[in-house]
Amino acid sequence: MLQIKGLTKIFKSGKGDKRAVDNLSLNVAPGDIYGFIGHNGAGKTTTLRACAGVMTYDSGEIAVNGIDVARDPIEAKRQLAYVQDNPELYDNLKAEYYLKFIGDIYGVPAAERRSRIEKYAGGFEIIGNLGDPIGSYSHGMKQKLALVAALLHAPRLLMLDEPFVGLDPKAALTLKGFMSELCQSGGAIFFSTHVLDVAEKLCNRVAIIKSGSLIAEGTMEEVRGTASLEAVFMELTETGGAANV
Amino acid sequence: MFKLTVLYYRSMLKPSLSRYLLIGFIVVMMFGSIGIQAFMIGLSGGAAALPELFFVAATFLTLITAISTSSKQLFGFRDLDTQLSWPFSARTIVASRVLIFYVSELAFSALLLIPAFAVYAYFLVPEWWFYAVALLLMLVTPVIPSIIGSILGSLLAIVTAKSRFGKAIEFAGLTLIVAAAIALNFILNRANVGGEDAFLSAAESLKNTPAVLFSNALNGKPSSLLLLIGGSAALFALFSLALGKVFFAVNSAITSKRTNANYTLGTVKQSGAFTALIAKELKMYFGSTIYVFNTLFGVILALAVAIAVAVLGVDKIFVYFGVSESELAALNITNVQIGYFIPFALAFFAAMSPTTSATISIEGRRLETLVALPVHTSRIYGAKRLVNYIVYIPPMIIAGILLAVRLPSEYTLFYFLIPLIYILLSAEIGLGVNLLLPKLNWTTETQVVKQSAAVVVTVFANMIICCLPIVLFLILGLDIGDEKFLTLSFCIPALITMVIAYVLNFGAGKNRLRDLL
Repeated sequence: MLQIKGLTKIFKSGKGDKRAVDNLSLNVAPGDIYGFIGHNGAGKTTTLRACAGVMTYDSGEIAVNGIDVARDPIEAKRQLAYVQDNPELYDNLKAEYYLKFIGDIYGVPAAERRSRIEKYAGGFEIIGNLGDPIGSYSHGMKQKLALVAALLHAPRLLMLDEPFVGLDPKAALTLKGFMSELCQSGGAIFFSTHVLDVAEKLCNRVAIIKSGSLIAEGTMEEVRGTASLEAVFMELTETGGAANV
Repeated sequence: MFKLTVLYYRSMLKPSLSRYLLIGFIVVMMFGSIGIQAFMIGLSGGAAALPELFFVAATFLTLITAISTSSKQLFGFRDLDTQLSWPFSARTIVASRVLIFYVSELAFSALLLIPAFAVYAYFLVPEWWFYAVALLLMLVTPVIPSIIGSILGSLLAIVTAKSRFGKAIEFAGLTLIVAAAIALNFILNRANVGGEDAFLSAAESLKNTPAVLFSNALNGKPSSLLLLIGGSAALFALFSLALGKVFFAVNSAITSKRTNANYTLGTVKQSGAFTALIAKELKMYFGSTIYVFNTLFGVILALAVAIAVAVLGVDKIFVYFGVSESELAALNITNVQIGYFIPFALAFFAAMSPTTSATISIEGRRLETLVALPVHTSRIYGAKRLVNYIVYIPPMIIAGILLAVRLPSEYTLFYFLIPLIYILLSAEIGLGVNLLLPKLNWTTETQVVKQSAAVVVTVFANMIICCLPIVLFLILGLDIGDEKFLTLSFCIPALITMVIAYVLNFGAGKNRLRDLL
């Protein structure tokens, strides 16, 4: 569903170049819930943004459902949905209008749109607030609305940057349910997180990134072995990393 | 307080030589254009009245900008929660916002008063103390109008925040203020045409207003100077103290949104992607009072010119723009030729501040959400351009019809085509400049719509481009009524518009949005 080969992203500045992502390769297959773990500034968000087509990259290839993000970004974007860690939505718009806007952009038929809004907004318990301006929403409600908007066009690949930050426990549980459902229907999820417990319980595959380079990648069992994910993560990131599993 | 104020300006100004050069260029251009106006008044014999007249203009300008921007500048700024989490008292934060607000209002006063004082000094060679008094007066000039303006603006924002028709009320109020400002401008221009007597009588008419304190202070009356400074300082302190007490109540009243307690999901309608983009752009535009306010001036001025032409006739119209009949006669311009200037005047007003000059910046951090959507950049740009067309083209059609009623019918088509092509060109220039000079990390919309480099550069670029045909006409002695001249005045901007649009859609602009993230 998502193939990344040799992705390199360099941020250039007057003070010298910073290699944010360095020759990163990984593969997210249909049905995967793929966790992407790393310290702050490790390159997780940069990778996600490059995959979502919102950021150019210096070398490498990214394909979503077989479509090259650099060559055909529009078609690649149709296959996926990307939710930022701190969703910036249009405060002046009403939430229902924002969902209409997203539905129109992705060409979701009206009947399907209605049933999905009822399902996802109902699941996150914000359906009664859809008539309100987004500016009146709390951070958590904005996060929920961004997730509803992301799920509205039934994406094949859902990319989430720290999706559980800001969600209440019930909403986090609801999101996990929607994530599992999407993967069971042949979709895939690629998400970054700092919450290692969540990654351990939810993901079937995991990758650990440090200073832009992948230091471990594989199934959850392969990466953690007999230890906990937290112990492995601490060991790999403290000691300078190991080769890919 | 000063730490927070310095932080605000440091966040606004990136330390880059090119940016400082650009700001320097803009400042020189602005002072230059106001200075030329002041100098013309000085040449007409009105130098003695300059400080008082420009004081009134500065007061009025400050009042209008304070009414329109105070609710955004003083309240509802994005980093309020962050600032409150720092070890500063709420009073310090409020005081820093008042200081930031005062400095931005001072910029408007300085823009008018420095050239006025300079021209006054050039013609009348005052004593040394004049300069010290002038500096003090410039510092106190914006205090009272900005306090009155911010009280009125905040009250308007509170009234409209929770009302169903809030935006309509706000726009109606602001339109009235803009119309009043334009009317005042016309009156001052008429005084300009009247020469020395008119200036002196205008200055005389200000004797019963607070301007008399200003005038007396400049003429060496220490009591007036002390009263003005003391009164302003006392009012400023009172305002800051009072604001500190009511800040949070007013802030929550202004920033709270009207919510719908009984919402149920209604009929879901489907439309195309481009229609959705346009509708979103229009909602964003009309959802921001300051954004609309910034473009209202051009529309109202253009309509005012067209109505004045239709009602008064073309021979009277230039008087309202400060050009006397004798000056027109000296330029050897006939009434018929004046008629041909009018479409260029409409174009000038309509092209002055296109919505596109702030359209990328206003996205702010949301730009990433927009770029993540599966739509071509050219369609995003197209929707943004269309907002500009929707705002400016219908009023220009009305203006064109008004011109067609009164002006020679020979070139009626140009009354529509000239403003139209400059609207299209200004939209491209605005978009291009905004893509080159975006300001995405803003905390108030005012920073984007009124204070960003892209907006100021666009205003100047469009002013120069719209004035170019007239300047060419005057320098080269061309016949402005000549069909070839009018055709070229249409075709050259049309060609430039197409080239810029092509570069933005398919050339350097194609990946620009992603590069900005």
